[in-house]
Amino acid sequence: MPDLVQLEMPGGQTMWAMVEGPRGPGDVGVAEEVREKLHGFHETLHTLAVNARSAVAAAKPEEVTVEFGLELVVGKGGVFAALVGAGGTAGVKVTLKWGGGDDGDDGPAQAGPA
Amino acid sequence: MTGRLRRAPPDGWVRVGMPGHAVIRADVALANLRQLLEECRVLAKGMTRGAGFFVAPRWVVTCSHVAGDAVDSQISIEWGPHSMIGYVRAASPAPTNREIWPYPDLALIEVPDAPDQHPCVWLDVAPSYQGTPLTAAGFSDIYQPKTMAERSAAFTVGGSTGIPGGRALELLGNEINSGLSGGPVLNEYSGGVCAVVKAQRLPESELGGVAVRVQAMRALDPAVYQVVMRAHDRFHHDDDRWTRLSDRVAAAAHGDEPARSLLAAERRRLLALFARLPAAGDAHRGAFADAADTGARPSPGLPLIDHRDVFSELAAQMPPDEGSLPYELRFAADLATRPADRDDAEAIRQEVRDQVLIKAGRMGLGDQMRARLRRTGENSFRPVIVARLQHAGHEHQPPRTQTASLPSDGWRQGSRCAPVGSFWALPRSYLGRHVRQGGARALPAPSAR
Repeated sequence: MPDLVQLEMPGGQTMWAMVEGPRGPGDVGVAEEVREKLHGFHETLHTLAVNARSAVAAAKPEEVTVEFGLELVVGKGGVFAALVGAGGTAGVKVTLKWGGGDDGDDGPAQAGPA
Repeated sequence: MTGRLRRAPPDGWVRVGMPGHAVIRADVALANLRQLLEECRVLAKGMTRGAGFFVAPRWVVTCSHVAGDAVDSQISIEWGPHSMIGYVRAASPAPTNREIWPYPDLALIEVPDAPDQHPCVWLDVAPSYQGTPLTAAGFSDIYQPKTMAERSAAFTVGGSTGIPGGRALELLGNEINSGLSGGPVLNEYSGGVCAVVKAQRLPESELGGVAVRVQAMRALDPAVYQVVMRAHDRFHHDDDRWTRLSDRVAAAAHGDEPARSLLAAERRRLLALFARLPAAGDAHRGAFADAADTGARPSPGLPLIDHRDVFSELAAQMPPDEGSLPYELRFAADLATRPADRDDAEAIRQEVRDQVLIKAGRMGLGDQMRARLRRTGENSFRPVIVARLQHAGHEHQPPRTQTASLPSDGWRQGSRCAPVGSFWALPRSYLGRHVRQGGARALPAPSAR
């Protein structure tokens, strides 16, 4: 069951979030509510953006849209932003757009899930 | 047990101890013991909140992940209306990441301001077998969020399982909720606390979890462990609130104890004496080997810190053949004949000698014990034969021509003097008390043999 946790963002700001607790074995002392550091948020966003753009660079789209979900989970070392999608499986939806229609194909092209 | 019933008690009832003790229902004794278990429980607030329990006067055991692993740090201890400061005197270290705390995950807390009257649990370091019924005591905030409500729960022993750094006891059949950590686990067959609740298998499930066996305290700071366990053994010799119940519970589970093994009360008496003897440094492993037969070995991974550890490990071995001295009694005899380095230690060793002679005599192993005592300390062993006894209640019988021994807990009754053949050493202290109380009168001493 998700727990309400105060998160410290990489930039130093804090926010409250529902975080999925550990699903496996755990010690059973009652923990005080503590501010958790969010790990992996910047890294996940950056990695997905850079890789999606470089993957489709050869197609020279005018616009690239990348959709994905992040779930906050407790893992070893803190709270992590983990890639997740519908049904619990990780998914990334990439949408490409061209405006000129030089080759007669001006519809969106989609790639994914990655 | 030493008590003999003139007729068998009805099913579900048990009598333990000497004739004259009340016959009580076994389930009443167990219910009272569970209640006493909860009276020993404390609320511990350290790194997390959980349970703990008094194990010796002003000493509490809990989990390291409850207390924290910073030695000499302060935590809060609450016992009923009393709120006190506890000092972490020994604790196993934290993990390097968020996995469960490694074995043993135990901490020893000194509570100097604890009230004098608090009870203490008796620790059972014998193996707990699969299917053994257990009761764990701790706290829960399930029905009262933000409140640590008292909770006790029934489990059974499932087996043992590996955790980081060691092995833990599996608890099956109930939910291990947050707040149960550090709570004592009562073995309902032995009547002792055998483990400390540690972790759950899965949140909000009845898959149970694990507890750490109490002998894992030997992995903590040896000096602190020794202080705590000696205080535990002395406490239970002087205060029978726990043991008078646990003896009845164990008797109901196991029936009469074998005549050729030490009775629970006899073990406690010896442990209390050991707790007053000087420590033996690093000589314990050798002492274990001297007392045990080939092939016996103590629990792997745990040091032998004090005499009680050697004694307990020997008691946990497969017993020797019928007619041989139990290993732990051999060890006690060896301890009794070691040269004493202090006058007070010599007096204690003398009392240990008296005790092992009495116990061996009860088992019909007096000759072997005398031989053992002579083997290990011929020069220092002085028989303490002082008299023959004729029991006051048997004056119509002709005077006994043999010396009598008194069972360790039977002399008070003044009715159980029994001739023991060639076993002729009788503790002077027991004889004196017995005669003074009118239970027996001294006859002329036999000629020297």
